[in-house]
Amino acid sequence: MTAKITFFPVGTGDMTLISLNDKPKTSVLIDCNIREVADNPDDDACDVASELRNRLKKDGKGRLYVDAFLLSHPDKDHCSGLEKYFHLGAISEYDDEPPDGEEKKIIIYEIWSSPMVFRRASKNNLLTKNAKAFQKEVKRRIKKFRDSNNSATSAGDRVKILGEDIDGKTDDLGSILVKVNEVFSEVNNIDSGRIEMRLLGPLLKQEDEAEEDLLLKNRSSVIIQFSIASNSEKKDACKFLTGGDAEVAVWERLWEIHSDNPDYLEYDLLQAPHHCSWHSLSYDSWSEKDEPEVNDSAKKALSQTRDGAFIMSSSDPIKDDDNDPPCYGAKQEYSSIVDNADGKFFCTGEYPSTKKNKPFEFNITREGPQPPAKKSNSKLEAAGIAIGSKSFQHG
Amino acid sequence: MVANHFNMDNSENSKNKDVQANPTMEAVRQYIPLIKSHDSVIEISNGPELLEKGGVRVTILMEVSLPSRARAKKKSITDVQLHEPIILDFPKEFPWKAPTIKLRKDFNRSLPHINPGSKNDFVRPCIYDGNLDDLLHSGEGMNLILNQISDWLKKASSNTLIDVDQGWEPIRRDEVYGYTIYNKFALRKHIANKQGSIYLKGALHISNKRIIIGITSDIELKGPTWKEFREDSKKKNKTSKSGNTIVLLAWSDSNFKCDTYWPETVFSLKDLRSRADDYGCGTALNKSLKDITNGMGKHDYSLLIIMCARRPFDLINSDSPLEFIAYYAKHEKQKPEITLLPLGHLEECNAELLQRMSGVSRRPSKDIILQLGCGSLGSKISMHLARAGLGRYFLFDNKNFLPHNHARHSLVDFSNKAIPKATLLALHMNKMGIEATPVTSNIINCLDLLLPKGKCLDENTKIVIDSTASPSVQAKLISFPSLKMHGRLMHTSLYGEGKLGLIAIEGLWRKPRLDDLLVKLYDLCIERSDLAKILLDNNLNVGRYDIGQGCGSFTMIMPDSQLSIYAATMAEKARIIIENGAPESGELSIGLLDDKGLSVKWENILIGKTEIVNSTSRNGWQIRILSQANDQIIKEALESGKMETGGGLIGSVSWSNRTVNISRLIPPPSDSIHTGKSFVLGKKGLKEAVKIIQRKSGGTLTYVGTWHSHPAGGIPSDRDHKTLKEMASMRLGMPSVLLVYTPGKYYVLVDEGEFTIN
Repeated sequence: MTAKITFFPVGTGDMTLISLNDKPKTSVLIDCNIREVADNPDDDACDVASELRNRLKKDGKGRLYVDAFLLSHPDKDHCSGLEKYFHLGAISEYDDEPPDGEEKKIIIYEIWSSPMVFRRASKNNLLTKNAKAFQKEVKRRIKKFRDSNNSATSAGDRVKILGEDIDGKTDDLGSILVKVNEVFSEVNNIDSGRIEMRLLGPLLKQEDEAEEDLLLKNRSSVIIQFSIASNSEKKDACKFLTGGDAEVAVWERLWEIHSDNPDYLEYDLLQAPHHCSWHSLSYDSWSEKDEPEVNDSAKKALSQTRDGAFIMSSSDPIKDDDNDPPCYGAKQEYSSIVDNADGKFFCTGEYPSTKKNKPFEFNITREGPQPPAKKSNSKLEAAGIAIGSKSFQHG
Repeated sequence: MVANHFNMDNSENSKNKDVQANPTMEAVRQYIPLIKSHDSVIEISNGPELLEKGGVRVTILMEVSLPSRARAKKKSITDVQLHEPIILDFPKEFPWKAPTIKLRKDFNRSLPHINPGSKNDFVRPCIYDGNLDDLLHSGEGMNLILNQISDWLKKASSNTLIDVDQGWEPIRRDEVYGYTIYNKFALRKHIANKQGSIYLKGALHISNKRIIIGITSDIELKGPTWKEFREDSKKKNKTSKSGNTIVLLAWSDSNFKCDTYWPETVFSLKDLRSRADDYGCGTALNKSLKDITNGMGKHDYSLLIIMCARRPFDLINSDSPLEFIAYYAKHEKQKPEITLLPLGHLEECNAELLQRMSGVSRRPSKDIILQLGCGSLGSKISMHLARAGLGRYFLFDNKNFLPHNHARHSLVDFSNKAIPKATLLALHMNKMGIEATPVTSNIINCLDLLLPKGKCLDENTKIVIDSTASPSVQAKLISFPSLKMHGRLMHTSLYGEGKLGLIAIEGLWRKPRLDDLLVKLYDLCIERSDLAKILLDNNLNVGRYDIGQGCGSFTMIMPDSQLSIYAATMAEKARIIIENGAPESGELSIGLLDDKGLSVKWENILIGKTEIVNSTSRNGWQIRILSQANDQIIKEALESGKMETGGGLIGSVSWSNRTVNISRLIPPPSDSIHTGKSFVLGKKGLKEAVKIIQRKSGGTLTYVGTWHSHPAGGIPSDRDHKTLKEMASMRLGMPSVLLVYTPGKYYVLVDEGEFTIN
């Protein structure tokens, strides 16, 4: 099997699966957004839960699992469905015989989390049920790690904290802490030689910033540049840059830090930050300002394309209107970036058509990520839907 | 056709007019908007244009989903371009036949899934596993074809046309000149670790349509006498040629792994030698080819050549990495070069192939199936099983296949020699690679000879299927001791001109046995008038019908299709037993045809263990108490506590097997007397009750004796012996049963009585 990056059509939200072509077929899931509409068989929304489950492996006991789950930040559109579909808690509490109509949950061998889990909830840090459950689970795993005298824990208890927190809160985490700008290659304690992660964010509090600004959660998104191999020879066949909902200030700052080393931000595939939000590129409002200006540094940070690079907006279809996100203006900016690289812009909500979505699967080949073949859906079906949604007067 | 005719003798001017009139052109034009609107199609760059040989050509430009960096370069490392021209050659028969897909002549031919062709031809990709004509007619066909092309090109650009996960994709031979049929398992056994080659015996059949069928046996020819394989030593036949041939099989050293996919480009001896080197068997092949050339001299000859390539992993749907690649080679003295044509492979029909095609779980071929009766029902049931690749067969039937048998038999007798049905069935099975032995003497004699010796009823016997509709065969089967009877006995029969079908399956250790099951069937008739109506009406069942002047046959009249409705279920029952084993209990399955005669509803009745009591009178009688009667006795005895109780026994008597099968009880009449030491069976209403049972069961069941309990245990008393004598004297020489139930043990006395003539 080839390595793959799959973007699930979860509306304006994120859910992305990296599957490697190493022997154990290592998997990393970035965020999850399984909405109720996607679980409703009568709704046209893609059944992303089944699509995800079909792509995961099972352990010896028939339990589905991911090797690592990264929550970029605890917003609703990045962690919906977490409690319903994933097993949270010790493996010993796993329910092998769920009630009728429910399926066995997915086990997470290793959690990758930002240090935001150490913050208390506040008016700027309102957490949903799923976010709270995630926080609780990360804390359980950290405790387990501390209880075992900071030595290795087993799959299902493993955790990595990506980035240091203020006030030395993360100083005693030892081997489970990854500092910003470090490169790590172990997924669930195994270095397969097929993947490398460079941690670029979260960029937490700056000296002159107020705590509240920081807590505007989009500052806290984990930003990673993945290098994914197509096979054992071609180790960096695909550079994949993803940064949750990181906003303009973050990208501006990143360019300040890395303009001398732009390859830190290089990509073959970029997940358009914050579902193609204008606010990742500009301090101005898209709908309120007449001529909103793009921040050059932020755009630079997001323009480090390799030849033929692709940008993917994980969002609803992008229309020429005031909406943000996804924002039409941002799409135009990203399109200009990929055009300069002879690349292409895609949107999960538009694949294969805006009416009916399917997961968008990139194969990782030695010449970079390869999008699905261009196919046409049933035209009769589309025609039926088209006329079915309109009333016709007849004389 | 009209347009073509005009094209031949008309000038350019009138050509345009013909274009309008050409039906293919018209059909293609209707598809143009659909083609244009496909997501991958950039433009229609040429056409539609009429082709000289008929048909219409449309050239389109398609955008390929290239990997990112290939996209920037506008072409991939495999030389697939971002915008690929595609030729769609629509045949004259369009829209009934699909267009041929062609790529540019310099398209990378080293990719897999490309049809063989010369360098000057357009490259023809294999875009679809099945038949493209069929794809055109499923759903939105043209869309699907374009989707397939788009997907094929995407995979070609990243060199992922072979899915390593599924296994090695064997060389494509879709458009070959013929096939060679062999058993790959047998062929694999010849492949040694060291590079080498052998000659096998084969046969060639070349039809007048120039389709070559080569048959490869696994019989090795050691030191062949070349002369007999020369063309001029064979009989000539103008329309087609058939004859024996030599098969040259060559293979590489075991450590030579051929991990490159070579498309089919072998058309000459030179190509073959070079490809043999690629497969690592060049030395062996060349040596053998030299022997052949020397041996054949300048004579005409043809032979089959099979090279074995060792792939790095198992082939798709296979458990072996050995790939066999076959060619037909022909040497003609007028021609300077040997002609070489690639041949596809067809697996010889065998149990493994049939099992795979039927989706049955893999069974060892040791399983023995006994089919008794190879008439319409028997032949259908066993052919169903054989087609699933199950078992080795012993086929019993002494009757010959006569012309009228064609009405319902599953086979056709081409010989017209009235050969035994069993032989005909065995021939068919053998042809399918299934082992089958016909036994064509009288079934009863054969069973007598074979069974005790364990020849076919050994431990590998999985099932004995009785489709004889013969009470004498059934009686014979019933007589076999359960320990000598391996495999379950399954009885199948039809009643009432096909209104009812019966499957009776014996229980573990023949408890219940076939006779128990049949008694149970008649017992059911007492309450079920719908069954009684069909089962007990002798007029409905078998009649004598003329099959020629003065010749008749006792048979049932019904159409073959109706018989098949039952036979399929019967075969399924047998298949499940063979595949999964039989359950412990016995089973009666009764199928009733519905009013419209289109479907059969089956009801299944599980029948528990039969209780067996041998007569203490030492006269060889056996009493078999069916589970429902046994349960009833235990229940009534228990309810009556310390008091004795009892009643009448209803059952059936078999003289040949000296057996009485008890199916139910008659409750003690109200004038019966129960005490702690005795039980007196009253008579109030007894006679009436017996009459009703006899009538409702069509006389198959009757009052055969009494039972009573000894709550404190103990053998039959003197009183009991006396009563039996009394009973026997009244029963006109029919056996009388006196059954005693004590907790945990039965005793039974049987008195045959004496025939008294009143």
